[in-house]
Amino acid sequence: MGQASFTSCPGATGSADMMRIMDPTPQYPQGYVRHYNNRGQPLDPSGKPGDRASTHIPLDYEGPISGWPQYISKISL
Amino acid sequence: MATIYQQDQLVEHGNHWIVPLQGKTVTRCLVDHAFGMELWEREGTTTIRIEGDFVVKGHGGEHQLSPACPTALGPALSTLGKAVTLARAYKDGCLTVHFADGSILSVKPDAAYEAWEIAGTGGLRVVCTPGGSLSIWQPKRADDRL
Repeated sequence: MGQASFTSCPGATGSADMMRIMDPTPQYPQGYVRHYNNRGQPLDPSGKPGDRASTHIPLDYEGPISGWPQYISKISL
Repeated sequence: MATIYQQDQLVEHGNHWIVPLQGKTVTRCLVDHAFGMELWEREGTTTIRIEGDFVVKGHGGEHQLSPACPTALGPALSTLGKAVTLARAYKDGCLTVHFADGSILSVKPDAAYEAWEIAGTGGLRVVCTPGGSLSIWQPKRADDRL
């Protein structure tokens, strides 16, 4: 059983408005993040719904938004 | 404060967990980059989101399906309106959902991505992580919060 964590907005159901930080796996040695819009769709680093390749975001990913998602792993959810 | 009933919990049985979906009906199917099923009840909605390849086996035969080919997902829509009789999340990452008409939906784990996830009532959540391990969040029981 994993030790991952997640947080969601009060009143949200299912995966809507949720962020989930997952433990390292062989494919994601630093762990990965999945975050969802209010319809429960996983989002890519730019905040758009995307396919599974673009919405499994490695925690060491460096994208257009400074600090995202690297610093999110330092926040206790 | 919402009351969390024992029947909202996953129950462990050897090599698998029983997911508490028995008697719930698929009330909506969703297609985006995944195939989703919603099981709505007044007490709360459970969602099953399948991102990996899966199989629907029923009276119409066996269909190998993939959310990557959404135009071929027609056979999966046959789950709409069906009641679940049994759902098992295997510890190797496989998911099987049995329906009252005898049809079965099954998903195998994916090496690189999450193959499926279930979000239920009271905070229940099961995720098949890349490689097939399960991450599980059980609903908090009322007596856990006293």
